[in-house]
Amino acid sequence: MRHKEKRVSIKNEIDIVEAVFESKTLAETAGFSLTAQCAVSTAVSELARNIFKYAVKGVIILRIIEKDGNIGMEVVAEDNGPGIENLNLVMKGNYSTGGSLGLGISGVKRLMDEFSIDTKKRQGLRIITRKWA
Amino acid sequence: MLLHKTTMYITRECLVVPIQAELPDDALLQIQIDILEKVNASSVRGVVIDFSGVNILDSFLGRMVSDTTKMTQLLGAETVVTGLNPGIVASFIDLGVDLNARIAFNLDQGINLLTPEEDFVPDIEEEGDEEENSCDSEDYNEEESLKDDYEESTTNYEPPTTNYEL
Repeated sequence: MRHKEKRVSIKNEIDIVEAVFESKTLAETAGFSLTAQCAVSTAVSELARNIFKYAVKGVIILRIIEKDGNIGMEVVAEDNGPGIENLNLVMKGNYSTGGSLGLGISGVKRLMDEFSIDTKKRQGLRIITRKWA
Repeated sequence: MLLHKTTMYITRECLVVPIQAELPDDALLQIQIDILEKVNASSVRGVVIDFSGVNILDSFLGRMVSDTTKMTQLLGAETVVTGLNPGIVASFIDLGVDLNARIAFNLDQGINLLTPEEDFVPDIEEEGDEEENSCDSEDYNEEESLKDDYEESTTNYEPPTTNYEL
């Protein structure tokens, strides 16, 4: 079963707002509760902001997924930026090289149900997260 | 280029800042500057940032609020955050964001928190002061005559309306 997919390329700050809006709309179509919609959109906001801040440009892919009769949402964030050097530190939270709170990526992991990250130094970043309705 | 103009207003010695939609970062930073300038210029008791028009608060906005709170505190005003929805609150816990601000359910309660109603005496206070200070009979008479004028004018005014109705 083919579901809708939305790609939002992140180049400007305003694209972050667009990605958040699209994720909210898609989560609503997927039948997510208000709280879950908020969690997904917040996660998208963090991921999009990360792309803009560290890699300058990248893409956010949003799609509705289905597994064993469960509806969920998958959010993929891809960029060709500098990647993450100290992944363990970043995942613990409170660590940031960009002058922010350092809550973003570790926060996304807590906001979503499934989380996987693929990074190599200077070869970009690919984060796949899912949340089930 | 999108223009985001947030209309701030002062009521009961509080600066009310309604955030109406998800805004880009530069707009939020501009709002932060505007808040500080307004607080400094108008010496309000506190700031109420109302998020009832916002669906999502991420860690950036959380940090902006937390910073603004600290900054306004240094200027001598307190910040209250109002109108957070359940989704935002749940996400905050996951993100580990601490707003550092006092929270109220809605705008009304937020203003009450900063300016309790029994504390706040609106412009009527000035009238009371005048009466207390001016024991002069002259002033008093003047007021009396003003009152008479008012009564006259109202009585003069009434007949036409009744005529009109008939």
